[in-house]
Amino acid sequence: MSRKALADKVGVNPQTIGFLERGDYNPSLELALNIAAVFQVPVELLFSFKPFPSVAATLLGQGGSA
Amino acid sequence: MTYKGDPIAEKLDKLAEATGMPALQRRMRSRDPMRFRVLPSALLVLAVAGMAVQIAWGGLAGFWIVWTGWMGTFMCQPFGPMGQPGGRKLDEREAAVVRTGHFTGMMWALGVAVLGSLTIGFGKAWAMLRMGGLWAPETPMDWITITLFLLAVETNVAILAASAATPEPLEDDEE
Repeated sequence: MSRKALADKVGVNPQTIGFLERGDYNPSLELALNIAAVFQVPVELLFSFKPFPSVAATLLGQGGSA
Repeated sequence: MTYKGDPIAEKLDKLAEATGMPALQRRMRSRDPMRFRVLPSALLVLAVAGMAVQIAWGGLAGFWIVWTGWMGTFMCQPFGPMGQPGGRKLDEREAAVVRTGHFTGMMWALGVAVLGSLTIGFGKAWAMLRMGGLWAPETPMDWITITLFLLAVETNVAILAASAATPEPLEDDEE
């Protein structure tokens, strides 16, 4: 899904979605729940206090058990 | 993006497109706000210089300098994070940036007004005690210049604060 498509679904500017991806903006609870609802996943799967492991680290088995 | 259906409306729409204004409006609506640093700082300096000229010489010279600074501010504001691109509704992040900008700008303008009022008050008191005196606004142009100066301070500081609160632009600006 593109930034614009997600932004249109949750009613924000696509730039805001980009800043969320980059970790430059902390969303309100309402926006976080709306984004989670779009992907039909729990909100803690998308937002966390702990940084998520990178895709490369996960694929190489460094993000958890191999 | 021209209208299809009624031939007269189609011709009018093509005529409007030929002026380039609808294309410019579409571009304005879709663009991201610019992060200003130098321009509001320069306009702020211009407003301070205008106020200094008004204090030193009075008349209209200072007023025109401050007016130029304020007009410049007024014109650059819509292109920065304090503006509403294309008149669309601001989202929660943009609204927070605007609130932060206005709060900082208002605090600075209030600080300048309080310090200025105190200085003018003490100046008047010294003048009454025949211990010299400081400049105080007397003519309507002095008051109008002060008003425009405070507006220029508020808006330029707000633009600077909002620009600082806006993250760096995204490198991969995919749609």
